[in-house]
Order: sequence, then structure tokens, then C-alpha cells
Amino acid sequence: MSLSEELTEKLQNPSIDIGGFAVPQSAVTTWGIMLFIVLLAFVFTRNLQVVPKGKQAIMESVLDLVKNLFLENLGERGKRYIPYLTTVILYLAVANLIGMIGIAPPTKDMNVTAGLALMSIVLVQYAGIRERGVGGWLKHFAYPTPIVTFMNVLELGIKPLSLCCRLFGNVLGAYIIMEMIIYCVPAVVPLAGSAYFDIFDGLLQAYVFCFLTSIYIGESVEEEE
Amino acid sequence: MVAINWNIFWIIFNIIVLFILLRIFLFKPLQKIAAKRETLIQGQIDNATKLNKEASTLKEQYENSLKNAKEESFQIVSDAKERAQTQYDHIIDKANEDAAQIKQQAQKATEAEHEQMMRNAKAELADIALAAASKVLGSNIDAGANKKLLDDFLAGEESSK
Repeated sequence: MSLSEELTEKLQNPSIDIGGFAVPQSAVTTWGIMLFIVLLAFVFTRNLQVVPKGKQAIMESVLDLVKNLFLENLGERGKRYIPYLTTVILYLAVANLIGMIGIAPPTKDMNVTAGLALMSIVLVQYAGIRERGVGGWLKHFAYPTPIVTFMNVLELGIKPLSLCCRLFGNVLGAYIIMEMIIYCVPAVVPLAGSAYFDIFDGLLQAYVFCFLTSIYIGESVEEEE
Repeated sequence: MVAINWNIFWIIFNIIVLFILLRIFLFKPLQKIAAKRETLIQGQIDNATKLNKEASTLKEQYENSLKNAKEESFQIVSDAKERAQTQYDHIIDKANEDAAQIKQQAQKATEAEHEQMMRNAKAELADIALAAASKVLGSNIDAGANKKLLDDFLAGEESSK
């Protein structure tokens, strides 16, 4: 099989038949990731102590780090969205790292990144409505001056589109390059490539996605002067 | 490859499920333990504040009682001094009085003794004079008359003195 043939085959998003339902491969992988994360959470929250020790201290400091990352952008009013953002960043981090063990990352399916971006923009609008009421939310489109109303409305589509395509493009690009490297040089070189594309870029994209979402939420709940 | 279709709902559904599961297994337990921690720390802070307050109240009390004790001791000492002064004055007065009385008594006694002596001396002198006179006269005419004579003489002598 030539390189291009193999790549074309690998870039399909095949469906897996489960009990008569055609479930996309990305969803099946996602279930595995969910199971992994929930098991991890279950193990790490066994027998929590008031004074954290060992694994609990590690988990708490990692989650604190993530929390503080978002809290800066969200502000006091957006605090309640931290658990959702933590969920997404955990999922994306695992999803983007999963390529290292030879499983196709679910984020190379555009439906996954589009779905996440859609949820993000819905959450941003929900946060705005919750904070200002429907009237205040609508008025906010004309902020700071009415001239920008058009752009603000446009942003409703642009924000999720950029979130979706950035993540998808990065993961897909990394996936294609990694497949090519593995096809050409199956040993040693993929290691260096994997370190960059999976660990560095993968984690960076997970971070960027949630970071931008937190900024959007922060903007929609912040107080106007 | 780049196509958005109904499969988009798989990830939305999955993320919502993951969020709910993490809420149950991660966020809630953590929140609970954090709340517990906060209660504990707040309790300790409250307790420390209470103890501090109590300590300062006690300190104030002690300072007050110390001040009172000082005042009281001053009072006691000054009272004692006053009493001692009174007693001292009393004793001195009494001593003075006693001394004066004793002196007076002594004077009186001396005077009385002196008088007694004088009287004795006079009587003796009269006897001697009588004896001498009877010797001179050679005969004792009448002892009673002589005595009378002598007494008269002595009285005359005294009054002329």
C-alpha cells in the first residue's frame, strides 16, 4: 500500500456497529477516555483527608493549578463554570495524548471538535443570559458602541468556528505528520515527533481551547462600566 | 474527512455524561473536603480568637486585682502606721504622766520624811536640853513643868525665827 492510500484510509472516520447502531469510532474512543478519567477520579478521591497527603495532595495541587488558570479569566462571577472547563481540559488532554499509544485521537474527527466548540459557545451565551437576563444579554451585543453590533453577532459564529478548526487542524495535522513519519522511519524518529506533536502540541491545544472558552465566558459575565 | 454531521451529538452527549460523572466522583467529593477543611480552619481561627480574648480579659482582671492589692497593702501599711503612732503617743503620754506622778510622790515622801526627821530631832533636842538643864540645876524639880518650860522656849524660838 502506498503512503497516500494508507493515509486516505486512516483519515476516514469509520463507524463501528454496536447492536445495530453505527457508532463513530471517535465516540467509542471517547468512551474509553471517559472510563479512564472516571476511574482515575474514583481512585484519586478514595478516602479523602482534610489534610491532603500523597496522591490526594498531587491531585489537589493539579486541579488547583487548572482552577487558578481559569479563575483569572472567569473572574468571581464565572467561578461556577470551572468544573465544566476542567472536565473538557481533562478530556482533551487525554484525547490528544492517546495518539502516543497508537489509538487515533478522537479530536481528529471534526464532529468532536465542532461539538465541543458548539457547547462552548452555548455555554458562553448561557452565562451571559444568566448574568444579565435576556434583555441585558441582547444589549451586550451593542457593547461598547452600537457600531460593533454586527461584529459581535458575527462572533457568535466565528468564535466556535475558530475553536473547532484550531483544535481539529492541529490534531489532524499532527496525526498526518506522525503517520507519515511512522510510514517512512518506523523507529526512533517517531519518538521525537510524538514528544512534540502529542505531548507538547496536544496539551497546548487542550489548554488553548479551554483557555479561550474561559476568556469568552469571562467576557460575557464581566461587569460593564 | 472534514464533514460535520449528526455524529456531532455523540461528543455533546459524551461530554455531558463525563461532566456528570466527574461531578459525582471528583468535584463533589473535593468540594466536600474543601468545605470540611474550611470549617476546620475557621473553627481553629475562631477558637484562637476566643482564647485570645479570654486571655486579655484575664490579664485585665489580674492587672486590676494587682492594682487593688497594691492599694490595699498601702492602706494596711498606712493604717498600721497610724495605729502605731497613736499607740506610741499614748504610751509616751502615759510614761510622762507616770514619771510626773512618781516624781511628785517621791517629793512628797521626801518632805514627809524631812518633817518627821525634824520632829524627831526637836523631840530629841528637847530631851537633851532637859537633861542638860536638870544637870545644871542639880535637881529635878518637876519633870512635867520643865518639859513645859522647854517646849515654850522652843516654840518661842521657832516663832521668833
